[in-house]
Amino acid sequence: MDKIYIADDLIEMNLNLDTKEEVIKKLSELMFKNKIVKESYVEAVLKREKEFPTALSTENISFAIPHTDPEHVNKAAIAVALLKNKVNFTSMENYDQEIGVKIVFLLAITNSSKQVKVLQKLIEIMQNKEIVDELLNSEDQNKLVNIFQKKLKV
Amino acid sequence: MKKKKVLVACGSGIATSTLIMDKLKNGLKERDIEIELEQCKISEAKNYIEDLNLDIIVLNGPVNSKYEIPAFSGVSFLTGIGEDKLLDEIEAELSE
Repeated sequence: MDKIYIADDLIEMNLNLDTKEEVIKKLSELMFKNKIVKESYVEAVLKREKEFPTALSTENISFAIPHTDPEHVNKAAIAVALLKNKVNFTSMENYDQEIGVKIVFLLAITNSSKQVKVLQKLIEIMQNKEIVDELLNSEDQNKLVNIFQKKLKV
Repeated sequence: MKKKKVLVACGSGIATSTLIMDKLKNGLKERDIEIELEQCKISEAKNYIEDLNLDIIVLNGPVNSKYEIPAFSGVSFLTGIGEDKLLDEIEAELSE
């Protein structure tokens, strides 16, 4: 199944939280409520983020892509948080460096090789200044969902 | 000419390493280099290197350990920053 679920019930605009753990927990909660992930998911993501951090910086924006193994996931989906203030996540490139990220994509992956195309598009979007500006200036969940559905072709 | 073997190693949840593998394979193909790819967890990497005849290892994070073969961080494939330079370096290493 290549389809990835992205919808407004998995999007947080202007999320006002201070730590990466809080952000991951909040987005995991959304996923769990929608039966997308199992109860074990949130702890697995937090654990993985500690060991293998996921913050990345392109020329346009810094973001994080926390995720974990498919065994904790029921359905492929992406939850998105646009953060009110930047929250520190550790850099994927340098484990000693903290990066203040503006957007977090919590990934629920069921099949890595099938869903790699969507992930590729996600990374490409983050490298595209115009789309990033569109995302950051979105006023509501629907607008954001439209952008993702169009650009990710989900 | 024998295909070069590249090991891509990752933490758990192989989303990012699958991306890296894809970019690596396509990037090198454009430079006329065909490779065989193996994938494993970072904790298994040293065993894989010992058991198989691998040429280089690419990680989905910084190179924090010493490996017996040349090691590269594949994060540039995710950020787009320094991607060509990384491919240049890998190409140079594989062409030796």
